[in-house]
Amino acid sequence: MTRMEFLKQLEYLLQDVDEKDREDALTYYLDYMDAAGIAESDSVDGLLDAPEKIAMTIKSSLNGGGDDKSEFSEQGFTDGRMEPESHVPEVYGSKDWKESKTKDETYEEWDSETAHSDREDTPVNNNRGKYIMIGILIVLALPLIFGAGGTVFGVIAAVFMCIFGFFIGAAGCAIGFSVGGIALFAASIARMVVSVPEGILMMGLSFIMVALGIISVILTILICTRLLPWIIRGIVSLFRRLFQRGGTAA
Amino acid sequence: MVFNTGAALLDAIVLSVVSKEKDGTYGYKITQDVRQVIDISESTLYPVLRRLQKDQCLEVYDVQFGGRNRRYYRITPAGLVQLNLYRTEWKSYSSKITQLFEREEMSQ
Repeated sequence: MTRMEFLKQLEYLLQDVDEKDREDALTYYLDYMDAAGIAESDSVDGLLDAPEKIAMTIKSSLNGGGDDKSEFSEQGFTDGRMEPESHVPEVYGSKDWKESKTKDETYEEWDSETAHSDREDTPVNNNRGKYIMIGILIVLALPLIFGAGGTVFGVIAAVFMCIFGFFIGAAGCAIGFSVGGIALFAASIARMVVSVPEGILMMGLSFIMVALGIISVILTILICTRLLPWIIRGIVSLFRRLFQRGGTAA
Repeated sequence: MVFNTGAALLDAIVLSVVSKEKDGTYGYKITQDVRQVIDISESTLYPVLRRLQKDQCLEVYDVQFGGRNRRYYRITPAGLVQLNLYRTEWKSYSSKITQLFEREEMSQ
């Protein structure tokens, strides 16, 4: 962040502060950066605190400066109400304590600790609430689940019935054409005695019927051996995929 | 730093630093001088200076520097009185604690 960006950001963050206080703070930081030799386009990172922290410190000092529980210290302005319960520095003095820690790191550490302890207070309630919510959702979704299940079942049944219908039709055609064709052939031979042209016509018709019968038989066989297994395989794999996905998700 | 520097001690340190400069001093220099003693960020120091100014322990005046005004801080008579109070208090406070610690060391 450059000096210009820093001042702009600080001014923006202090816009809800009294104009005189804002001007004062901006003048102070302008002076400070001049004295520190920070030019317009120079970066202020590492030299100054973040504008957010500065603005927060200024606002807290303007609002609750006289409060007993809040105080200024080298850690910055602290508000007693926001402090962790214990002030005992457990890690101070131990080997783990790094003297070289910068202020920002301790600031963040304090922040994450309090945030963590806040989170620790709620998991039991959270879980119970979650179960209750899941229960309510299941009850609410029951009609939907049944509806969806019914629809899927209906569609599958319809597909089956449709194929079954085709099969019955094809089988019926096969039997009908074949029997009809054979009967017509027999009748055409009898008719031939009376009238030769009529007998030949009937015989031709009987051949056509037998041919249609044969086609129907082939169709029936195809439905039985190809279409049905293909459909069944499709449905089985569809269900398997559905259940497998459900299994991995759970 | 193991011990927190409370508001009163911080006031005392800043007053002491400013009082060392007879002709007054400016924000950046105050920060640098205070940092000789304790680790502190400029965002902490600014509200302290504001507060001491409001309590009339410090006074502010502008000095032409490099083409623009620079804000200077100078200790007031009231500030000197306050600083003397802090010095006396600190002497008694720190010597009691030092005595306590030294007595513990002796008995060990």
